[in-house]
Amino acid sequence: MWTGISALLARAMQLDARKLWTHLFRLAFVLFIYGSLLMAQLQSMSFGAPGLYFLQNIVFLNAVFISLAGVSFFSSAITEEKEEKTLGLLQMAGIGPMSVLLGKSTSRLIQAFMLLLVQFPFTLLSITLGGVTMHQVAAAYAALAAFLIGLANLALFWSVVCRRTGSAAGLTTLMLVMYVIAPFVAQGLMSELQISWSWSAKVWWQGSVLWVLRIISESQVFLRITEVMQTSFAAATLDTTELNPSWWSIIRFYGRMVLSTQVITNTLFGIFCFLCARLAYGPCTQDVDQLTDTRGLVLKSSSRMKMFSAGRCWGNPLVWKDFHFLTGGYSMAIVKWFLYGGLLFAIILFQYYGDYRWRGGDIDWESAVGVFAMTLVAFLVIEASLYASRIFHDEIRLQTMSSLLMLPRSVAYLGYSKALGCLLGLFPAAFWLLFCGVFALLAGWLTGPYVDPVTDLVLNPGLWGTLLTISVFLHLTTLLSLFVKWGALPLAILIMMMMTCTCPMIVGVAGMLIQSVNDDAGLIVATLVMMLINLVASFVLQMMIGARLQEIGSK
Amino acid sequence: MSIETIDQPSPAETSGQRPPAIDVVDIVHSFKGRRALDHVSFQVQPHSLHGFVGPNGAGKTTTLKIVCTLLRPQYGEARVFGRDVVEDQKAVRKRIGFMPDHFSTYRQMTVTEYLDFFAAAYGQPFAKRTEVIDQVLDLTDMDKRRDDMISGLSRGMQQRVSLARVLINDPDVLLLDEPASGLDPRARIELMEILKALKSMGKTVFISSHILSELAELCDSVTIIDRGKVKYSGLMSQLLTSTEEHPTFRLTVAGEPAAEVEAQLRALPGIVKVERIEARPEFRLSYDASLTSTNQILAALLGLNIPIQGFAEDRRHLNEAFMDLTAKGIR
Repeated sequence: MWTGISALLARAMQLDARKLWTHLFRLAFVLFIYGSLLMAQLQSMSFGAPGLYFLQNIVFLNAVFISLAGVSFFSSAITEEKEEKTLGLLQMAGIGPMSVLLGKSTSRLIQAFMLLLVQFPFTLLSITLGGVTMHQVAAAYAALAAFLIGLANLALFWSVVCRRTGSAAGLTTLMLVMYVIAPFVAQGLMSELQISWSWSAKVWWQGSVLWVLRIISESQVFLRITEVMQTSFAAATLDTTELNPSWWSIIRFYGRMVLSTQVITNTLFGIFCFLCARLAYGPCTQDVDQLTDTRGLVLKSSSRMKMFSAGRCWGNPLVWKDFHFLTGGYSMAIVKWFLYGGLLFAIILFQYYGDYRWRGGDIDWESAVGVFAMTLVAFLVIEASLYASRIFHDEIRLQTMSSLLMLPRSVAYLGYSKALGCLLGLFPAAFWLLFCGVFALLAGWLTGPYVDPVTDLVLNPGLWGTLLTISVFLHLTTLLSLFVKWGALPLAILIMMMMTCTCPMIVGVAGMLIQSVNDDAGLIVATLVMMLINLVASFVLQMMIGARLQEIGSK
Repeated sequence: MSIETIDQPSPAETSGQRPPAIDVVDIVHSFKGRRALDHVSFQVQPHSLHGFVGPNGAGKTTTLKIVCTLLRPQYGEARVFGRDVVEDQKAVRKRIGFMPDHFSTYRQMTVTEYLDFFAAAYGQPFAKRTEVIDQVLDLTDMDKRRDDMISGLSRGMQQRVSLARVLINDPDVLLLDEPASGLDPRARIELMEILKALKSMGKTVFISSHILSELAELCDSVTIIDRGKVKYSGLMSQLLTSTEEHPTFRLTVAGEPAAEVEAQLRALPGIVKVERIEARPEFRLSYDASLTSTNQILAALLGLNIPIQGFAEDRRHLNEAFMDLTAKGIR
């Protein structure tokens, strides 16, 4: 077993050492740390506790980075072998399931841990800068390490179960979202049970349920980091009644600070997921060589329910193809339409039970629709990002780029047609968003005094700035998907985040320009500058996408 | 711009000349400082089946990609029916169909959906598409599998679907990169039959392949390329004809020939050269045409009481020509 593990581990480490982008990524991380240090230094001139600001930046970025790595880097550990049909070869070489799991996941875990370890000495500078104590740094890194173990193994489990990296990444993301939301739901449920239902810890089964809910509410890394960064956490000190504290008391103190519920639960969850991955390995990798592409919800034209089939190709075949075979076609559009409708219903139901029924308040329709609209926008961006990451990547995966480029059409025509196909996939979310707009207009007219929120929103320069930033992000995602095999979307998110964090001067100046300029002319100029920067960036990215497509086609 | 408007004859065609189907002139192309094509020139005549042969890394795929407009040559020109592949890219694309050496298919589509997609992409009108799809499915014998998902088809079937896709816009020139690679013998023979049928329909087929025996049977002309240089380009028959100074025949005897046979052959009137083919019961006989004839030699041979099994004009096998023209070593 150990020979197999060490062989896989050595191969992974060698590949990692040879790849240029991994080194560039680490360099970007170091640059980010230096940027944060510089910002902390500048901030210390005006505010206190620059060390805390510095540590917060680094730790939160790490948490986001681990989340993104979990979605992309870790969830492809086994699926990449399945996709390349090399899993059978590994098995034939005598590398057993345990060796594959350890060899494939441990190498990635080590790489991620290395990134945490490398930055640890730098983060100790936060203590020198002031506002942070040693045990805060230790507790923050322990929380991150436990989160990393938990998420990496969760992603490994889905990577074993799923046939494709996309599915594994999707399920990992879903569980990650649940992990982020769960504490809030648990807290709400706990207080509801204790207040409305008078549940008590004295009744054993009620106590057990409440205990589980408490554990869930304390197991999220972002909440733990927030707790660690608080002054009350920093105030905890060693027992000073002892003149010469023993090693044991020091260990006990740090143990208490570091071994939180989050650290323990996340680590245990990681181990549990690894065991599940081992159990699922055999059944889930048996017929892996018979991988076939599925059509999702798109039925064949020969099926009885023809209306859910792709039917005959439209005048613009690329729009037809991407609408049906990338976004899921009519069936998926209908499913999404009902899901979004269900979401609105759920929000209203939540309001009904939360405020109207139990607390005797009114159903706030406007806020319900407002929450719905905001959620829809988030879904719209997520959907668009997913399409952007696949729009050309699927063509590369299927090796169809040369056939497409051989068509008597320009690259621009191909690109825009495909984008239009993806836009059609966004129709359900856009429909409900339009519904929200109409509702807002009607509510404005009916309730008066007349305030037109739609016009207000359209004239808001922030909206256009956001839209153009999203446009840059989508272009960046598409471009990255032409270079990397998987993980273009998380990489794009990380790059955008790093750009926003390390270039606070540009973002800040632009933000200040918009916010501080009072007269209309100044506002327009500031908005135009912002728009121009984003437009130029989008244009440059489009050119780069076009050039890269030509290059791929000729390979 | 509508793609229907660009399907016009080239200036060379309108002037009454008959331009070559493919005309590659002095092309040079390098990748990262390594010269992949070194002044490559050759022509392919219309309505012919032209083989393109070379060892791995010889520059075959690079040439194909240049001809099919996917790669711009760094130096030199390539024309399809007189149209430049760089200047008249769209017009060239309308007249060619390229089948790469890998399956370039949307595996989640059915065969009909896939062909319908490409028919629409080539600007075929909606009403005509069904007819065109029926025709290409009939030609490739895929009619019964039209509603199957491509991912569920065998390798040979997928290759047929690829070929059907290439034919969907009724191109004049077909560029096929290793179409028979990975196919079983039956699928290969059937593919070759389809190619013959396409040639009889007036198509020009430019086929890059490693399966030399089949190319020799199939092709009218051939280009042999090695390390980026053209070693031979011309008629297949000319390549396979013996390069000897005198007319040459090949004599095959039954069993291991006796030691004195070679001497007996040398003693025949008009024979100028006798050569034993290594490890085979065969001799290559060259004769002086001014002194004797084939019939006279055959009659003399029968008189020698040698157990003759075969007597035929000596034609080189394509394998031999290929080995003679290409160099040994790693590319």
